[in-house]
Amino acid sequence: MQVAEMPGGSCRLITYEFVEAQVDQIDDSQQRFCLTFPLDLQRILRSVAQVGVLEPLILRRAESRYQIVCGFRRFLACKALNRTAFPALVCRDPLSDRQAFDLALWHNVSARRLNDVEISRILRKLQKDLGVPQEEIIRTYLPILGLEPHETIRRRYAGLANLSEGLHLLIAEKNLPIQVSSLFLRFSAEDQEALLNFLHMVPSGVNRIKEMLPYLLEIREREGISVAEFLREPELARCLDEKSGPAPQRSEKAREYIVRRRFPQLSRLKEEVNQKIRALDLPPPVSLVFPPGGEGGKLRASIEFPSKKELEQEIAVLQKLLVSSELDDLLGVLSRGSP
Amino acid sequence: MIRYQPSTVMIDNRVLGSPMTQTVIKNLPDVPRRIISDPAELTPEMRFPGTSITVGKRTLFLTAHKGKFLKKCPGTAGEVCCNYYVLNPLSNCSFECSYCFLQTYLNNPFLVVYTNMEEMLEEVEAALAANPGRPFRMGTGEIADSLALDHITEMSRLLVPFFAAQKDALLELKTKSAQVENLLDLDPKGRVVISWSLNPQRIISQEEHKTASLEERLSAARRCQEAGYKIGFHLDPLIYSPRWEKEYKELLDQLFSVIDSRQILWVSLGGFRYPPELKEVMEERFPKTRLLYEEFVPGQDGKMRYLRQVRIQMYRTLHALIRSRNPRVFIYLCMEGPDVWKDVFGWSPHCQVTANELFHEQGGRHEFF
Repeated sequence: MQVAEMPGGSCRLITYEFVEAQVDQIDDSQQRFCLTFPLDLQRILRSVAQVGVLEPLILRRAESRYQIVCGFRRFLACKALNRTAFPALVCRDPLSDRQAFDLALWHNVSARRLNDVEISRILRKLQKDLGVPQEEIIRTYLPILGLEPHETIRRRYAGLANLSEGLHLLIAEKNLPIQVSSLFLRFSAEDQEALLNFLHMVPSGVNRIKEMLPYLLEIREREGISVAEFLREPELARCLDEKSGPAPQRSEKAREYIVRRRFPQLSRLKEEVNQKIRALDLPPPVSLVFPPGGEGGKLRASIEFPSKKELEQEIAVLQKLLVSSELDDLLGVLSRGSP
Repeated sequence: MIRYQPSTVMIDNRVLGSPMTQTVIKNLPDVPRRIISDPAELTPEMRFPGTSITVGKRTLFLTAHKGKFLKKCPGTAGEVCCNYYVLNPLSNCSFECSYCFLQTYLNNPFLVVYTNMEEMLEEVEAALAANPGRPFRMGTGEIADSLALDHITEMSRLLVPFFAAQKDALLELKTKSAQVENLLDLDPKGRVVISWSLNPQRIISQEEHKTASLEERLSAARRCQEAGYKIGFHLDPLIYSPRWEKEYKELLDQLFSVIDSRQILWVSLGGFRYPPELKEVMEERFPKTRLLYEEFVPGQDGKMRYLRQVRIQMYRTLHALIRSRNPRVFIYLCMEGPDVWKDVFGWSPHCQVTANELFHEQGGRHEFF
């Protein structure tokens, strides 16, 4: 016997009957109460194969058969391993869809942290399948999911449910923060597909994806071209070509190309300044650095020396630099800006 | 311009008897009122439906200010400071400028009127008395529009006579509205400047929602000028676009055809900048905004700005255009470092200069103290 606190505030006493359920007694045609994404069976298969089903599944009666409320992965593992039966707790009284969903939800949130795709699918099921009013979703279910009860938050998570299965997998696999994953919603379906292919070709961590997505959106707006079109450009394709080096190098080249397109003026300025710095041919302990974003109009000079003798030599280099016309030229570019 | 009309007036029961509360009630006789005993009880209500920024603004909240009304303008790290003071009898703005920093700056969503005005004016008097002879420039337009609620609060009718009687203070009422009716029969005695933030009409239409049109703003400025007020303009935020030069030239043509430039106390220039966290809010609330697609770089204060070279080009061009109409109009840059000042004007003020010193360094002729 178990006391379940239902999200709506009603406290309902649920009693269960322990059974040895047969796999062929299960109606698995609907997966409304399956909240897990992705349904990765690798670990559960190993476990069930070794020691069987350790925790009984929770079932509800559906006419002459059963429906799974909690335990889809365990059930699928049994099927895959050709097990014919498994331990289960069957609710004695009829359980409505809403009650069954709540039970599945509590079962999941009490055992683990749900990923954002799972949250988005839960919100969609609550609204679309179960017809729960938005206000109740916000006030009751968002806190259960560990979120602030706020419409903006509901909208943001619920939106993720509209993304493709491929993007759902990427989001869950990379554990992308919601601020990043919700950016995908701003791309068209065609662009999302192109983006997914691109991200498969260019191995990218969370930070790289977080940097790239806004740039791609902004290039789209600045240049009036679709992201799919942009990602097909030959120059970008050359960056991604396997012959152009190992994956991290290709990824960096692609990033540089995207940054150049997003910030053409700044990139030109930086390139021009860096070219002029390189032309000065300063010995390695002496360096000049382009200021971040070109702000301040100042170059940073640095020297490193292990002895007075080397310091003297480096000061001599700087003194020579000081009277050179190349330095005037360089400072002029920095202050005037790139054409 | 869309005149603000709240859907609810929330009144902190501690300020029910204040004259400002009575004025607001008089001017909003048909708006539902709700008396509350604890302001903290309001916040959870704003979570549904819609975003709290949008919904919050529909509620006009009357309460008492507990802290200091008068504060030194925080300026921004590393930039030239003009020693301005901000006076905050209002918090939040009924207008909907896509770029408004208040969207991420304020910690409550309501439009707030602090009704303990007497305390505010006492605080100003005390600051002036404690610093005899020291000129103060102060304004109410930092975290609110100075005049957008004036049809409801009539605050200008308190502030103008008060500042008109002060020797060492100048009040700036900064606005994007055209609500100047309450000002016109008052005598500011040279102690009040009304200033307008201006942008080309295309930008007003696209980005400064609910505000007065350019024509309405200039017409209001003209009426104030005729009523004896000093006038200021803020070309801030300056918005870069491929058409910026033509559009701002047309704006200045329009301005100088309506306003007597000899009565312009100052014109400020400031390129659009934003704290990084504002971007997400802008995209959420104003998905059609085009402002975020230019090239921005983080400044020393962390705010995103147009490239230095772009800003300098805009400032130089506008500076020259204004100077060509009247070489004596005082022009200054808002939130820019000494390096940019030097590149634009050929000189830069030292930090913490008073407004008067700034004027003197510029060789201006206006002496408002």
